[in-house]
Amino acid sequence: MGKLTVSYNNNSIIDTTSDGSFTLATSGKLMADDVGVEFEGGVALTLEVNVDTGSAVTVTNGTTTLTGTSANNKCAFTLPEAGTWTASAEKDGQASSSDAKTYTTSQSVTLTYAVVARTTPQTGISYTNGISGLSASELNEIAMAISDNSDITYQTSEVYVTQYNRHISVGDQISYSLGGTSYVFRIMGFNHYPLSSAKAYGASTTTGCAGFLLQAVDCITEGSYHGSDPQTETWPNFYERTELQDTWLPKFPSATQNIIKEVSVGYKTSLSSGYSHADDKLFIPSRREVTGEDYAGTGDLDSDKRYAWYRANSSQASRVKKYNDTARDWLLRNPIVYSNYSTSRRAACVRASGYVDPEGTSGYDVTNNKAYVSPCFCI
Amino acid sequence: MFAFKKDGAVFEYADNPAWIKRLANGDFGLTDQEHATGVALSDGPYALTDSEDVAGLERVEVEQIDGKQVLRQYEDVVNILLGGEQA
Repeated sequence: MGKLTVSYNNNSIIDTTSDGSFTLATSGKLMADDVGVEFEGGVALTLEVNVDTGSAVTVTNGTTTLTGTSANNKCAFTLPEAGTWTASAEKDGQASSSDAKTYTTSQSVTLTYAVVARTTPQTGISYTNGISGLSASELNEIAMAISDNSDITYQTSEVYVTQYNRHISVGDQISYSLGGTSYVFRIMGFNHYPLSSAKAYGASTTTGCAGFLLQAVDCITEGSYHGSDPQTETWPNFYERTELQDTWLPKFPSATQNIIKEVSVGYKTSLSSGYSHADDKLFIPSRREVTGEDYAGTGDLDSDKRYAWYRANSSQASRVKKYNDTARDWLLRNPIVYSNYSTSRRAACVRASGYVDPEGTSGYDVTNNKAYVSPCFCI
Repeated sequence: MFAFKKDGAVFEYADNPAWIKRLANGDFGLTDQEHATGVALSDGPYALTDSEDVAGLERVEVEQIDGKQVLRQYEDVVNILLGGEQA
C-alpha cells in the first residue's frame, strides 16, 4: 500500500494509525482549499480471476461493477479501491462459483463451474469420446451430473459433459484389474437403477438414480449355487449374490470400490407374480433387462427396464460372453426353480450362442451344467 | 404401430420400436425416429437407410399403420376360419 498524507497549511499530518482519522495540531475551522492530499508509492490493486476462457467475468463491491472476458483462463481487473469485492462468472448460460473477499493487496481468485451432463453437445466445445483416462473421483463427479439431469433417462444413449468435455455413450468401455486380472466393463445405460441412498453422491440428485450402469463384457467367474433345497431360489438367496458382494467387490481398486453405488435391484419373488427389491453393489441382470421379455409378461415394476445397450444391440450375437476365451452360458437374476435340488434345477440363462433360456421348468439345467457370471455395477 | 417389411412382406410389428444409430464407439445407440438410420427388432438390427453407419445390415421398409385396423383384420380372418362372420 502507498502512504496517504494529508497536509494543512503545508504541515503534513500523517495517518500513523491507519484508521483513516487524523489529529490536527491546532483547533480551528478547516477549509477545503487549505487541505492537500497526496498518495505516494501506492500500487494499484490487481484482482486476477482464474476461470475458463470465454467466461463473462464480473467483479463488484456493490457500488462499482467491473466486467471482462477471460482469455487463457484468466481475466485481470484493477480495483479502484480496497474493500470487499465479489467475483463471479458466466459461460454458456451457466453460472460459476462466486468468491467474495476483502482485498487490501493484489490477489488472485479461482472460479469454477459445476460439471453438467447434457443430452446434446454445446457448440464450440471439442469433446473427447469415452471414459478412459478418467479417475474414480472424476467418474463419480460425472455420474452425479448425469444423475442430476432428468432429461437423461435409462433409454438415453449419449451424454455430453462439461468441464471434462467428454462425449460418453452406451457401449463405451473401461478396464479394471480384479485380483490381478484385467476385465473390461461396458456402459449399458444411464440413470437406470434408483440409488439405495438418496444422498449417495453426498447430496440428493434430480433423478435419484445412479448415473452409470456397467456390465462386464465377458464373464468373470463360474457360478455357484445355493446349498439348500427350497422349491424356488430367488435373487436374495442366490449364492452368487453373496459371492459378488463378499469376494468380488473387494477385488476392485479401492478408489473404485468407494464410488460404486448401492442400488435398488428388483427381483421376482416367484415365477409368475410378486416383486421386491434388494440393495446391491454387484449384481447380475434379469432376463427382461437383457431381452425385454419376461415369463410373467408385462406388469412387473421393471416392465420396460431393458438396458439401453441391449435394446439397441438386439442381436443374439451381442449377448455372447466368454470365459477364458470360450463362449459360455451366463446366469440371469430370475428365480431358479426345481422339483428336486440334486437332479433338476432350472434357471434363466443366456446360452453360449446368445440364445436366452427362460426361467421356469423349461429353463437351463444348472444342476448338470455350469453357468458363468457377468456382473453389473453402478457409479 | 409400425410394420416392418422385407421384400414387401411384413415380418414384424412394433408399437415402440428401438430406433437406432451407430455411436462413436461402433455400437448401436437408441435415438428418435427422425435421426434413426436403423431399427433394432427382436432378432437384431436392420438398416432403414443407405447410410454408411448401417452398411452391412439387412434393409427393411417401415410403415406406420393403424394397429386397431390390423387387429380387426386378424379377427376377421379368425372368424372366417371358425365359420363366423366378419366384424
